[in-house]
Amino acid sequence: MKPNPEKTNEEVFDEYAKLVKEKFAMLKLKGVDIDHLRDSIGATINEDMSDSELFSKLTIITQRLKDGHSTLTGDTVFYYDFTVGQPVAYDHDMLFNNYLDPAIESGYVTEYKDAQGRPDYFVGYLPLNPDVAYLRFPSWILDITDDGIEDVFKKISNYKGLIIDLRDNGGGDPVLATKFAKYLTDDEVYMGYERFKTGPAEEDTSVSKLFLKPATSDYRFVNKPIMILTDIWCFSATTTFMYSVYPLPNIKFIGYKTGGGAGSVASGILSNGWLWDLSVSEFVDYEGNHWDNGHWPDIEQLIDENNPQVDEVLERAYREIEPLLK
Amino acid sequence: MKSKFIGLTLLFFFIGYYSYSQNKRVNDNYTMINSIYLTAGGIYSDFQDTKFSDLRYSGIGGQLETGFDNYKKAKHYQNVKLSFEYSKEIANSLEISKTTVLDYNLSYKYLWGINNLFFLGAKADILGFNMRSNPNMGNNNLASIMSNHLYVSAMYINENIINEDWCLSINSDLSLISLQDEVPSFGVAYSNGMVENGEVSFDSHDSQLPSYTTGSFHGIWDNFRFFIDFNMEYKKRFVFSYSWQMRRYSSVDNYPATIGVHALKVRFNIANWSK
Repeated sequence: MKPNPEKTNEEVFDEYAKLVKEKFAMLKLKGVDIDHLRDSIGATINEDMSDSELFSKLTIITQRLKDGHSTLTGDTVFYYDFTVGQPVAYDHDMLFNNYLDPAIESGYVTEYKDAQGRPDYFVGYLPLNPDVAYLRFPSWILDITDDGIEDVFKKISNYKGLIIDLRDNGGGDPVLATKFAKYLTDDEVYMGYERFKTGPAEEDTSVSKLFLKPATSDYRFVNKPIMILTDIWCFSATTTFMYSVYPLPNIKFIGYKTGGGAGSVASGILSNGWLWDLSVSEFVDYEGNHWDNGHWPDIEQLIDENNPQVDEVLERAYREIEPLLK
Repeated sequence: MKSKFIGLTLLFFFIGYYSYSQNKRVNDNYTMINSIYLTAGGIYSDFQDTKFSDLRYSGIGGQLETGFDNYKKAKHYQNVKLSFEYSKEIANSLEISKTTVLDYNLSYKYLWGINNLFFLGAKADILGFNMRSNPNMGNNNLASIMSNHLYVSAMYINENIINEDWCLSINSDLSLISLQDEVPSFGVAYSNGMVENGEVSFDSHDSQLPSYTTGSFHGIWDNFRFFIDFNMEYKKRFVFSYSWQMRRYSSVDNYPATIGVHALKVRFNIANWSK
């Protein structure tokens, strides 16, 4: 075995720079010259620096990766905030007070709660159009079984259209997101591929082609119009869900650009105990689009924060779907 | 009261059987000796996976084994063994690195007698699973190795090392070929075989577990595994052992992972019989 690494500032910096160079899968996509960063920042590292000063130096690299999955955790957590300066396409109070509140009549949305009693997901329809089902998933960490997913699609099977509200969904379990996506297709569909790092050199990668396979169910929601609401907070497993259904012709995205986070994440510990996360893969769809910098919707629509009574994204989705209902 | 009665009955039964089996165990050149045993001990383990870090993890834990021996002097020795190890490891005194390690192994060994003292043969893992868990490690909080090895094995045995009450045996196993898959791969917490073969999918969580179907074969040069143990048996009943095992494998060139385990154990032959 090799001896334990020293915890000197220089060694910790070199260790992190090496990890980024060898494991981060999107240096080219993100335009990062890691050798230049290592040399230029490395020249400023010395053993007199405090932990917080060293942490700041390392996070210059983290910031340059422009990847919400890549974080560094010491006494604080540092991550690239991809939402800074982005316009708003979702407001929690606006949606709940005006559309999802149980006191509102002529709509019927069931709020499913997790084991701790927290809101988990929403199934039903809104007053805007009783022929259009409404699903809302604030996360892909849901307290739901395979039978529960089947039950969701059984409940909405007779509706003529569907709106899936994924705004503010920062991700969770990509397998769970894929299980839901499988209910939206009758045929196996090629989505694209995920390229994984398999070794230290830039060319050390492998490609896994990804296919969306139909769910084994009588309640697949297919051949009907579907609008998916997105915003900048749609990230990680939500991106998995979105690129899974992107090839389906009956689906349109509406709202604002997503946050991305299409890659898979690895985690580890530096020799001084700081935790790192890095994206070690990238997804490229069947048209050659990289999803990691976010995906623009088919229909761009923001909310008007000065008008808290109306969720413009939601209402636009209803206006867009209504002519398509059969 | 009822449980005390059952306990005493079992104790008497056990003592009676112990005496009977000792008398029955006659060791000569024509006798085949069988033993069923339980082993318990303490371990000191080491780990380093240079794919992720040069941090060396080490810690202490325990080991339990149960098995069956079948031995005929100068003729053959065979053994089936199920072992379980548990340890807690830490690296560089970092609390955040605390890792729980579990290891399961089921193996079968058959050796042919060369003469009264030496045996030579093979051992095969029927099941081999090693799991490391650290909840602080985000997506890489669970690492696991599924591996089956085929070993060349040797045994030295001296049934009268001090007097006829004491028997010394030294066993060693060297892996020649292995079938192995592990999670994580070079980076991501998916099966290395699935990543390398381009088989990752989000259809299920299968990608997050190692599997024999996605494993690959390795020779001694990139998956070295060696066991050696020194055993002193006393009156055919107790065995005091020291064992050491080392494994070193590389799923990525120049980034080896190394595991070492030292163990001090006491074995108790629950049942001995001969024919």
